Amino acid sequence: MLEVLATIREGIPELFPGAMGFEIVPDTLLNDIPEWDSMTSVNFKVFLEETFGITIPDDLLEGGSTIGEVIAFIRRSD
Amino acid sequence: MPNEQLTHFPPSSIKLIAEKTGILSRRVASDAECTSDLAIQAAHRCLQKVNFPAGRIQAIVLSTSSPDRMQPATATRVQHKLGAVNAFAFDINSVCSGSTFGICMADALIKSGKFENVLFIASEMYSKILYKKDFCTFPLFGDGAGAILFQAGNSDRGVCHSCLRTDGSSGDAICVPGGGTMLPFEKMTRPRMAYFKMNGTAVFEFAADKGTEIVLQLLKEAGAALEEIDWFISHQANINIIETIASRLGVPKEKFVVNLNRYANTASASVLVALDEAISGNMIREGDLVVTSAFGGGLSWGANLIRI
Repeated sequence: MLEVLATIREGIPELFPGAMGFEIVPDTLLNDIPEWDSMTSVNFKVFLEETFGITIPDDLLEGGSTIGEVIAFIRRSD
Repeated sequence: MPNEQLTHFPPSSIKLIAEKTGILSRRVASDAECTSDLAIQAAHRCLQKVNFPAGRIQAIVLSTSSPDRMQPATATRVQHKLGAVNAFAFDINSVCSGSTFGICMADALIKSGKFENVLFIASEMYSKILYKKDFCTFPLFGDGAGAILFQAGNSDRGVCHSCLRTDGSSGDAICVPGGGTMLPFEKMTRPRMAYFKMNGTAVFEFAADKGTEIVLQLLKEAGAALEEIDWFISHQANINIIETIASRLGVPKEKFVVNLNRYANTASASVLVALDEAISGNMIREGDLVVTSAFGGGLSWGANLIRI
């Protein structure tokens, strides 16, 4: 879990420049990430799919999910 | 290149491009071309239309935020390839506002009384400065160029007034972070730093606010009324921005020239490309009063009142 979280934390500032310094924790709602919207969420999806080699379902990234739920999905797909 | 050919993005995301921006397609230059090549084509066509020999051009002002190289000025290659041997040439970079800034600069050179003619060109090739995997920028831009020949004369045709503004406090909202002296190549930690980036949400609000404000300011300073304006050409970035500006001005959106659906955002070239299409298609006619306006990196924004 911590390893996946660390990878996401590393990628977030480049995908969401406005999130520089924003603390990402498992309870963070995707909607609360600065600059999160339907366009930036596509970049997040591409980042996750390329980094972890999996397919992320669109509904997981609709904003109401938490980082923890995304991490759980990635770990289940391992 | 239509949206459907952007196959390196998830298929489910493609419909978002049209929904969020109105963009359906864009032009993409070949690998072998650079920004000056588009500028030269636009300049040639402009000079041919008025049968003006390149050797008579006194000055070339080139607006670009995607230059051939960091130096020398892209305009100098354009001058050479055009055979404009009697001209001096230089670049200006006001990012997407470059059309309005360049129109003002070219007009000012003429009005200074020192020059009989000035060729203003806006040319952009964003396909080569965008990070191809960035969904927030790559689908939104296209390559393009336009040109206007300014000549001294006594007619009432030409630029009536210009209004330009900048606010450097938000310079990071639209930028290419690396490759300059602030972040030299050897200090870049990720390749992405060499590419264009934009905070879309912040830019939308800025564009809608300033894109409206500058038109009102322009008309106030020029002593003109909104009702007198035949056509509005706003920077072709996003149909939702244009419709917001039209609504806030209380002007029917049909009075706004729109071609971003076919060319996407061609940065500083967008206003010139739209102006040329509208004139060529007999939408805008001689004698019409036109407001051009643009907004972009810097942040910068500007507008011109032009009698065609």
